Amino acid sequence: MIEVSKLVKYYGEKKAVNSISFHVNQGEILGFLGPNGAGKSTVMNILTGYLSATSGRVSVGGYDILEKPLDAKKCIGYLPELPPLFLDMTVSEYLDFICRIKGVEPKSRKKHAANVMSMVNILNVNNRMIKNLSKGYRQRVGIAQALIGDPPIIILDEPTIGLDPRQIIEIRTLINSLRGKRTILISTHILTEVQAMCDRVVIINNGKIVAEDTPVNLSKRLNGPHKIVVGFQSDNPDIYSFLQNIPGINSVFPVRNVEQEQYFEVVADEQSDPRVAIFEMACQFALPIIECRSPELSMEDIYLKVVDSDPVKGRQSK
Amino acid sequence: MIAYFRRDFISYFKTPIGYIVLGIVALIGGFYLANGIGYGYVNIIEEIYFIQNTLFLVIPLITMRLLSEEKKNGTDVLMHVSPISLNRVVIAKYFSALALFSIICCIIVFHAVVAYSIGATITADTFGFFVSFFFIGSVYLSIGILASALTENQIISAISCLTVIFFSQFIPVLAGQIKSFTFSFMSSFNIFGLSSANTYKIASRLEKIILWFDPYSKFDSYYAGIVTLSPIIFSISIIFVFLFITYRVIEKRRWSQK
Repeated sequence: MIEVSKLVKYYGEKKAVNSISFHVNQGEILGFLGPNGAGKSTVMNILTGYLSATSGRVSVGGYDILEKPLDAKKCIGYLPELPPLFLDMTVSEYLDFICRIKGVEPKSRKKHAANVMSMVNILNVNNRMIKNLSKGYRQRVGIAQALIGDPPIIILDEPTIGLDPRQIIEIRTLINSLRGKRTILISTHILTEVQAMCDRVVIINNGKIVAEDTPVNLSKRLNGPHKIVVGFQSDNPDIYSFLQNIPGINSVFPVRNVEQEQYFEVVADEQSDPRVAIFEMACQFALPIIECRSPELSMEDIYLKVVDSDPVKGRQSK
Repeated sequence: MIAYFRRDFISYFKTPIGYIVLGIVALIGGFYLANGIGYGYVNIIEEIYFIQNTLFLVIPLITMRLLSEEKKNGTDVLMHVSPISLNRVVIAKYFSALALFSIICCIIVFHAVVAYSIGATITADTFGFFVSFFFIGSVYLSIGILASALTENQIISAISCLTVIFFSQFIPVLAGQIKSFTFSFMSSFNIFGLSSANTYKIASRLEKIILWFDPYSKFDSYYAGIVTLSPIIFSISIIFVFLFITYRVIEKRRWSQK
């Protein structure tokens, strides 16, 4: 649904976006992650036609954003970082205006706006002036305007910013309810949100993509598939050397040692799976195994690992 | 396009601007009319002339927030990401300003009707003054909308529009000054070694070129009650040029590398 190829954007001398290529499949929810100033909003603005790229190609819904901008824009519902709200309008007047500029049929405008308002739970404020709404409500009105016209592609730049925890859960539920029906590109700083919602993640840093995969695969990849945490219920001081002697195991690190429970992190060769060998060793020395797992990285760990290992950032920090 | 026209026109009356603009004109016009009735002599041309002299204040008030506020509040995103072409948005915004200006014209028409009903004569030159007022106002609106596109600060937009309109009212004086300065400068330094007659010719040409931009002089025949098509074509052309530049200014922001 979205194809981005070798996208470059300069701001003066600064290369804000550095030859980025990625795609979003139909019905997929793609998380866009990156530190502040990484170029996320710039990419989103280019995708929606708000900004133009210095070079590269963007195709949205099969239409090139430069060659057929109106057709491409018909496919997109966009919530920018700052919701584009007319403060002197009421919520229903504003959504009616959005219906008009998005070409919603006059007969179904009221019904459609009411449907969208109920989806984002703002029906109770429909007659209030937007300037009198709280930040959370304004954000939801912004999300409502992105949903107006039932666009097949929805691009949300930090949609849950300014919302309270309850509202965040509501928006997360809403986005999950659109799974499969719409293609969604979402940028956020709340990493648990990405883990809860996104099918795939693109991490961007200094205008470049530094990682792109499913959250599970990213976790596996960054962790290495051969890392295992194993726990024994024993105070035997030789467990460390027993583990080291197992063929295929490269290194062993003691993790925790509490009240006759010892935990070790075991790093094995790429080709070998040491779990069976560990089990046999435990049987041989009568060491009860109380835990054996691959330590999965949280989204926070992935994010920090990927961004911190980016050489460009490394150079800058020096 | 109608959506933007509707929104901007209604927003004049959701803020005090619409009421202030109409209030200023109604007050000035009403003062002239009432004064005329009191003296037993009503002259609508004088009223139009006086209101025309306040355009340098009224027009910036009408146009100052049309595009600058969109940029400031971040609502300009909608113009760019919605399936609506940008030139239509600019035209819609211009027409919303023109609609408010048309209400000002309606106030004048209402005063003319009142004056006529109490025995004042409405002549062809009154009609000519009215038409020239409408078209000159329309040209100023297009200048105002361009000023609004150039900045995201309403005050700067208003001041730049006010300055242009204010000086445009003195184009004949400025042209005369530039002519005499050019003539004396070229004569004193004997530039190009031209004779005095030729130097005067060049200075006069320069004056003519500057005078071409004077919107009022285009409507000279109207003030005598003779209606011709050329001033209207001139006004529409100038409006088109300013609206096109406005469109390009907004479009250019998308391509900005800054």
